[in-house]
Amino acid sequence: MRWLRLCLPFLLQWTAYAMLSVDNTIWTGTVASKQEDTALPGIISDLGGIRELKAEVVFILNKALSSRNSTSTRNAVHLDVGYCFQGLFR
Amino acid sequence: MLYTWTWAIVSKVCFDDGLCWAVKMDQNRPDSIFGRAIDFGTSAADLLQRYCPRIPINTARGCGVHKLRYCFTDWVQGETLFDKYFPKEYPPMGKATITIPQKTVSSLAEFVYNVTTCPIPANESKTLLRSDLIGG
Repeated sequence: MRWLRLCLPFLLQWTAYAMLSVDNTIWTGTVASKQEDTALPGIISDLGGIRELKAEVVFILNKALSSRNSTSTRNAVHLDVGYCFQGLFR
Repeated sequence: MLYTWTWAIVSKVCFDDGLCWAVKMDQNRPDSIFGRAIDFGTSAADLLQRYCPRIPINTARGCGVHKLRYCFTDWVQGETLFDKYFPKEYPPMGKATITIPQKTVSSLAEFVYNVTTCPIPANESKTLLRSDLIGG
């Protein structure tokens, strides 16, 4: 149940409510199914946690903005954990 | 909007001029088959943009590595063929019956024809695999 340990805190945090992080980004989320087979557990494990994932997403989104010399965008990120199709290739 | 799929997280970022990009983020695994697949896909998109710009692909806007590896492309609104036509209850591989519209078949055939006849110079149309480089 490694995926449960990794994902449950994340899902509780993301799907139950929207929250305002230190960078003023509003985070919300929904779960379709089988999040354990998405890239999410591996990415969270690599980064060390949800806080680190948020910081990394914000960093990369800011990279996109700076590469276009753009300064404004919606400060909302919605996480939609989608369907799994990895099982097809096992 | 942030989506997670089997191999990556995809986020949509929109700029103040209305243009939107897809931001694809994944673990940085340069030696894995996933990391190499990203390299090959990015190289192929670059070549198509350079030699056959009229072929409709989502424009690559660059990649980088921080803690995660990330790539930017233009955002294409819509559904993938997989999402639209593949059964939601996944049957075993090779046992799914999928029906797609005739127009989609024609479009795919045209796309494949255009890609395979794109005049990419021979010395740029092949990418050496790591196993080729080390004689494996």
